Amino acid sequence: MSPLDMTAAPGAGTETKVVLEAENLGVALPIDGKYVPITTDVSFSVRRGEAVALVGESGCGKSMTASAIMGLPPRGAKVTGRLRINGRDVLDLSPKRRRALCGSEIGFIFQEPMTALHPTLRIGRQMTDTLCHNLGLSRSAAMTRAAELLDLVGIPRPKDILKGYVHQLSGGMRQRVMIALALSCDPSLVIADEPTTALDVTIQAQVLDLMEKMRREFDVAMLFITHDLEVVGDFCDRAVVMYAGDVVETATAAEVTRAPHHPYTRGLIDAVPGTGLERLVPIGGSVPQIGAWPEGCRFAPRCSRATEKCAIRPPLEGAPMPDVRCWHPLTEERT
Amino acid sequence: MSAPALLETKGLTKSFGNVKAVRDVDLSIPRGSTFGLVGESGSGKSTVARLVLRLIEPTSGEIRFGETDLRALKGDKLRRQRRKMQMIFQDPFGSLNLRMTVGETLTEPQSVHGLGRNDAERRARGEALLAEVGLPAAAMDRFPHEFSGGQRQRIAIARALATEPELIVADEPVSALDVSVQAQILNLMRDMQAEHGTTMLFISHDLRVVQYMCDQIAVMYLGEIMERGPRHRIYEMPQHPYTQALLSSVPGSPKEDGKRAKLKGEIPSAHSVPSGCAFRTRCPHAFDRCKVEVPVMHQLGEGQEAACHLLDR
Amino acid sequence: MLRYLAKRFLLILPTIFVPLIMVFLLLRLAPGDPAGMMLGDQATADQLAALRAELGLDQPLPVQFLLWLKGIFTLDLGNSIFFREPVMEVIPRYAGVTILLTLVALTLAIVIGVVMGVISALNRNNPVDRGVVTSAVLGISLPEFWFALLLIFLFSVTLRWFPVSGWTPPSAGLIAFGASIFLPALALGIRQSALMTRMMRSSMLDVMDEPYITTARAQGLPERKVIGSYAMRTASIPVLTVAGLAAGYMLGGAVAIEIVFALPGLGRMLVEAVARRDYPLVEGGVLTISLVLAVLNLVIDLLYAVLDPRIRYQ
Repeated sequence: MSPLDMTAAPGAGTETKVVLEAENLGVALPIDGKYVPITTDVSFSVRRGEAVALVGESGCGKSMTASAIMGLPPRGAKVTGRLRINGRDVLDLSPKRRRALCGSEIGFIFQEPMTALHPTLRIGRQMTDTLCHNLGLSRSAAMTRAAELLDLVGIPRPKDILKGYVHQLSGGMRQRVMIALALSCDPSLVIADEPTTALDVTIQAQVLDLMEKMRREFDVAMLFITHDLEVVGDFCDRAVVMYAGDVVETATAAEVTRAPHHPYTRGLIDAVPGTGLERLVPIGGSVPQIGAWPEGCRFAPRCSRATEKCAIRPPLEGAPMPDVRCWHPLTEERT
Repeated sequence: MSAPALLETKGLTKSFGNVKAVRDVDLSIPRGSTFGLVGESGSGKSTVARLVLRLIEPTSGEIRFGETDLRALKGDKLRRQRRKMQMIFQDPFGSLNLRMTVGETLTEPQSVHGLGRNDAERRARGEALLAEVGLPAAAMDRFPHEFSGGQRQRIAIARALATEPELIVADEPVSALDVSVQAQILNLMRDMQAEHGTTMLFISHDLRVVQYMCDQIAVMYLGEIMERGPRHRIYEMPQHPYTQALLSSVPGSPKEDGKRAKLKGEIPSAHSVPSGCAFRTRCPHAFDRCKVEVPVMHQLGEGQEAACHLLDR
Repeated sequence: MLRYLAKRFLLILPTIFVPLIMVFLLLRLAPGDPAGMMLGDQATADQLAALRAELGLDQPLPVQFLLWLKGIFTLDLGNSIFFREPVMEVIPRYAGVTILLTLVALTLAIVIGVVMGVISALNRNNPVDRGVVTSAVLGISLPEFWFALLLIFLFSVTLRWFPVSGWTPPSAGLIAFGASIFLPALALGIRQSALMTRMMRSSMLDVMDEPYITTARAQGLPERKVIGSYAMRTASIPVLTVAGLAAGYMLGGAVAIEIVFALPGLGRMLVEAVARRDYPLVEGGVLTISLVLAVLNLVIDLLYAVLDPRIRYQ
């Protein structure tokens, strides 16, 4: 079904299907001849029509997880665990068949559309290359479809834009093109890596509105990678919080942004200036270097609630609270 | 108003070729306060920072630092004036000399400006500065690349304090940092200011950070100030449509009719600034007069001012 | 685009006239008198003076230069002192060989450079890459005439695939022409191809890390297409910049190659004309080479604009 001529209401009547399932997903990179883990035991799932945030600070492994899901990790990376896309195990697929999932089943929106779009190829060429390859359309049919897509993402005079180049567009327009490109082959999963971070705040609002509209119209599962908890609360249904290569907490977006259970998530919220003027409570210390993670709980050295027990690594399931990787989770409601 | 102004500009204007990056900016920063300059990219806020430090020459306008006419200073006098004005940049990696140890970075500005009687004294002061920004004295003999982003920004703050400046201009000082580290640096800067009574010009695109840090705020758009006033007035009763839109675009703000975006379109290029009110092409309330007449500042009480024709009614 | 073209055309003028002025001055400041060379030892002072007047050599230097400039614009470069016929008739006999040689050498250099550079970059740090990089270093450090001799020995003397020397014009059949020009062009182009290989390798390595390459992959495009039409398109832009410089080196290097392979080209003609103090012919030859170089650079700049729209729209 083409989202351009939708007749039925999105998702009506069908039970929501799990599109993406990661189970103990780990990525290790060869550094000085040894594999150093960048992420370990990353488990979560995204259903159709749902937007799930992958939140964390730089170096937590959120972008690495995204590139592993795309099947485009850095050279020499070792990906372990299980990864299912639309029910199919994809980690053992041949590189060629893995690549075939890209574009057609998974769309990707990058942070910097200026550098993520080809500088010397026309916008139309980039879009039609994708459409022709994945959908087998003819060049002219692909061009028509590309113009429809640009129109759909709110780009005026789409035919002219198709003839132009990325440097001729404004920041907001570039990101709209990127969104159209990611959605062009009707994927069931869209991964957006900090899609609004590089934009001005008024443009960021426009792009978030557009992504919400597209998400409903195309009825996609969306994995939204961000460092901004406010955007998570605003845009996402659920959130997966990562710290030092680990998932530390999974919950609804509302819970994560208002009443989190993991001390790290709490710390993140307290560190962001809000409307109140009370003194911020920063998290002490700094994120441990990759390859120098503490044994046991990786957050323990920075955690005010840490005890001896935290020398043992808490599991995501089986610690006092489900979906919270902590021996001493916060239980009281705080606002 | 409260304390007398330490830094004052009148009609500050800067053109690059035929592009007017900053137009007629009047600022007045009371001694000991933090003044916030907010705006999106292309608003000219960073150009203002460089102008008031005389890192670039204004095309026209006045800059006064206390009793001094900054534009009249030249050579040695300007150099001596620089001791009193320091800058903190967004990217401490770019602004610190990577070949200098932290110790050299902290003692060099002292010797340049003839502070301290000898090397030992300057080094002792360097160590004291490090302690003040929360770094151990052992950091003196290490190089910037050995530190994390947040630690480097601490070093940059210590360096700015080394000459005992009266004014610190901070241009997006925490934008490159993760939130947990950002909070550390913001608190540190607030403490510094309380301790030394330094006046600060704080430039940021992040409205939440500006709210946390600043007593007075000016909102810039396309090289002009749209609205300015004390923090509580700007955040609680913004009068300019641009300020209103900016504040309600912050993620997490309440959405009317399910939409986040309050403004259509994007900031016009500085090559083709709209006639009349610079904001009119995106303003939801624009009417005929906005096209032909540049709005003047309207006094709105408690030092709040906004440049908008709507306020005439 | 039009403004860009106009600007480029104006920039041609100095590239032609600066070398001309230099050659004009050098020839006249160097010792030796063409009139004396032409008339021999027995000439009387009157005869010499008459000939000098006829050749315009008795005029002050600026006047000589202006007269000569006027000649250029009226397409009259004077008569060759040695051949005793118009320079405009002598030059074309030699220029074709050199232009063809340079063009084929430049094409070979670009093709070899781009292909080897891409192969090297895609095999980053494995034996293939190291092999290519090592050969490129060798190619850069060895002189052209040595390559020429090596190629003659290997392909002409030992394998007998190509003629040892001599020139067959394209009109005599493309295969024979190809056989006669391949070795000289290869010898002339090999050094530049080595430079281009290194340039292409590093530019390709940079481009492969660009986000837009990740985008192309994330769109599901097969790797062949990602490399062939997304990466190489941008990676070859710097190589093109080098090609302009390479053309200049090649026109200069053609002298040695034409001598080694006994090709009747401009380079050889110039060397002989200089030895004979044949001022008009030397000046005509230099003018031709400057013109060829200017036109080649213009073509390359236009290609640049085709490959990189950011330049077109500036």
